[in-house]
Amino acid sequence: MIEFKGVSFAYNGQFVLENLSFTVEAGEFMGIIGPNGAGKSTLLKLADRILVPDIGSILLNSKPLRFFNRKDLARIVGFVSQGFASTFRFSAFDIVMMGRFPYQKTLALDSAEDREISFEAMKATDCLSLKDRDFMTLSGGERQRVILASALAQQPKVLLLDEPTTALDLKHQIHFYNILQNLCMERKMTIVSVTHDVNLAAQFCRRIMILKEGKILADGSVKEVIQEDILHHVYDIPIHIIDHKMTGRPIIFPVLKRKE
Amino acid sequence: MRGKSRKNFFLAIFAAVFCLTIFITPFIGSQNLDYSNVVSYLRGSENPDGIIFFDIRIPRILLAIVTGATLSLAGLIFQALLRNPLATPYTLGVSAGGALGAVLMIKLGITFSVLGFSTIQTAAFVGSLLTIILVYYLARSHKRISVHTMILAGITISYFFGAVILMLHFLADFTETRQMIRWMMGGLDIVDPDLLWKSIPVLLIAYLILFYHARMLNILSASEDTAWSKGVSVDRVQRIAFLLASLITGLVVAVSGPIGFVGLIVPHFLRMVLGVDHRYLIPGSLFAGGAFLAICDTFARTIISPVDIPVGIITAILGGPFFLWILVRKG
Repeated sequence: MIEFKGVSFAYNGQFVLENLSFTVEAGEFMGIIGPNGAGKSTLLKLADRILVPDIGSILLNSKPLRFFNRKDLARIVGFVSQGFASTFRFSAFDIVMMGRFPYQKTLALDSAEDREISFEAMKATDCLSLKDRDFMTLSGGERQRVILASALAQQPKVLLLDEPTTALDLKHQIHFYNILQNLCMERKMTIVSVTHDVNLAAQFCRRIMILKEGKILADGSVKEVIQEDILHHVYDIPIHIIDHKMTGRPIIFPVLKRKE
Repeated sequence: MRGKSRKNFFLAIFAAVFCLTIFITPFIGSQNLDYSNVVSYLRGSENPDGIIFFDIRIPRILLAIVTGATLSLAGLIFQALLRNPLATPYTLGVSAGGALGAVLMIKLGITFSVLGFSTIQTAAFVGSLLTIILVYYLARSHKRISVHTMILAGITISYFFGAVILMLHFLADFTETRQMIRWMMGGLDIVDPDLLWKSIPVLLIAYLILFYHARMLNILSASEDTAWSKGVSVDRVQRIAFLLASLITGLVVAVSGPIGFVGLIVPHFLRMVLGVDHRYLIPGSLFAGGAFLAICDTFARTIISPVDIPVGIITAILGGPFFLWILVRKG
């Protein structure tokens, strides 16, 4: 579905991503983890052509990303940011409705169909009751669900998420990932989520990629990647792993040296 | 749906006020006119009342409307693009560049004329455009514009040009200084109707093009990354909107000088009443901005007649308290 071929990207002459090559298959639920500054967000932005690679190419359905018309791209790929602070007073519904932009004629009014699809998207992420609220007065969790609904209103095949649960409490984190899991299983969406939460990724994702200093350090199934020596190398601290009693998936702990 | 009919209602009110302003303000002035003369002027009889009405008042009111509408639109666009409610048409240094051009020409005392524009007007227009091009290129890196750098560069350049202008003031003699200060106050009094007729199509085209981009501006005014991901060609919209808004600001500054305040408070007021949708805000800026400046100018012409106060002073004196009242009432 998405293919990176020898992609490098530099900010001000400094390489953030170096020679990345990998493929995301349709229907995958993929997590990307790694320390701060590893280039995770940059990678996602490249995949949605918010940024353009300096070297290499990115293919979407075997077609180079740069050949896509911007609106066509938005019909296939949805992007969920970490959240944003808007200066102006958009309602939650305004934000969701923006997801209909790739389907609208420039001067046409919002159609009944646009409205219907936006409502459906808000139902799917459990935020329909917030539709008339001022976006900036919502809590972090509510805002993230609205942003996700806005991406769903694009009716995309692929969802790219940039640390979507960083600002959320435990309950909302799980709630959010449950929604993602449903989208992946029921609507066959391809999901790529960047996260700092290794445990959350290990519970929900089928495949995990680890980035460090702009390079792929590991890429594979959860069992293959979530290993003590690999994570030790990634985070530069000793890591201990046990298996979750109910799911059988790994849970990681940093090894703490307590001063008695 | 309730929100939508509310917006339509207010837009209709602005349109009504706009029309009323056009019809009423020509009848207000420091001279009492004999309207039978005004009517007979239309049938070809030359008389002072007709000249005042048709050749002085009406062009001037039209200029006020065009200027007010343009500055409001430009303010609206800059606020959206910079995602900053404090942005004005002048934030990026357009008026500082224009002022520098004008002041320089006053100091040098050169006279020529381009397409009906006087030396000072031409220099002001060129100064405005060069400034915005400079700011635009300073803020470009990695094929993207940094809005942050743009604001900083614009404000820095404004201060820098301000210093150069002061320097020119210092070197100028008394007559030149008076002329410079008068230019920088802005005003609608020196109007060459021909210039007005030439400017109107340019401004109308700019209005239409920006209105065409209204939905894209909505998304862009929320967040840049969001705009990219929703399918907005952010770089193209930014380029078009920045250049058009600067162009029309430059044009208006060249003709009327830097009239302040309109470009800040009218967009603000519109956002309070109409919300965040530029499909409403852009037509709203035409009606509200045009009417506001025409009303202010009517005060400027008559309040201590026959003296003509620079309209920029009135916009601030009238607009300031009105705007504060709205702010307080809203809170």
